[in-house]
Amino acid sequence: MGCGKLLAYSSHQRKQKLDLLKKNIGSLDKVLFGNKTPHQAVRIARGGGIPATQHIVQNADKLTKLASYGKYGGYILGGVGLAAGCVQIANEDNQQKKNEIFVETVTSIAVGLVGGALVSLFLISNPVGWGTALVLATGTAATSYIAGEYFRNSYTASGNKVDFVTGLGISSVCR
Amino acid sequence: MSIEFFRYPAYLFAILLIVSIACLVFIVIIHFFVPKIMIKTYFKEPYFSALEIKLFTGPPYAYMRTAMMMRLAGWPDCGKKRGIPATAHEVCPVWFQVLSRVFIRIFLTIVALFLFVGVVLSIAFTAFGVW
Repeated sequence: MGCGKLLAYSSHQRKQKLDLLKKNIGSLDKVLFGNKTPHQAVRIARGGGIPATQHIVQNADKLTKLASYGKYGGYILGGVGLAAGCVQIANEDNQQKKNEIFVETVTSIAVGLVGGALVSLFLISNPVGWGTALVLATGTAATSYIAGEYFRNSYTASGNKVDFVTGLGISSVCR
Repeated sequence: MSIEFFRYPAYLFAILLIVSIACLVFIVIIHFFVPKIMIKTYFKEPYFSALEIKLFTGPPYAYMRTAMMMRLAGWPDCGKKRGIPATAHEVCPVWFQVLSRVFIRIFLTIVALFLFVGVVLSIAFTAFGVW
């Protein structure tokens, strides 16, 4: 392959990859790249003194930073949910209310995690853009919240026959 | 028809939730047995974006990667849109392929039942004014 052909080939490959990146980022490209398009932001640096791949590396860093924020978000949601449940159980004197809070917290977290597993089974065959990912995440969070409320109400309606908080030793942990 | 009729479906609903939690525990256990070669070969660019790789590596979302790899092992064609070759399952042992196929079917059945019973109970409890 001649030098010209090789350059044209790599340029074509690069354009294809950037098109895919643009498609995956979707409407959030403004957040990530400002007013530039992904093609402009991830262009090869032609100025002297900096490596040609500088912009690509910088933008890859931005993406991985976003992933880190997502991870922190997961820790915070799970952690705050558990901690809030524990504090509420500790501050509540009524044993029935303690059990209701426990059922709501556990169900909500479990349904959120099950939703996550379902989403991953879908994600492997359907790589989605940001918009769909946000809809999926919001849908899972909403379902887990509704499930928590639902099980709390069901527990109350069933006559609170099982004392989870005492039986599982939750009252000795959250006090 | 009285509300008593829904007592046992309500118990079934609670049991399905417990079984779903057991499935999650199973995914966490199997996470440590996912063939390393499968992750090295397919859980990388260009099949997955840099963001996905970072997000689904390590806690708290690593179990989602495990679920993805299990589906890939059980149904090799499912990675077509990501550009993953249909021979992806060949890098993992047969036990993992079989386990993945069986487990995912059971998991989906349980979740579908859970949703169905949940919807039926919601309608019933609303109709009977339980909440």
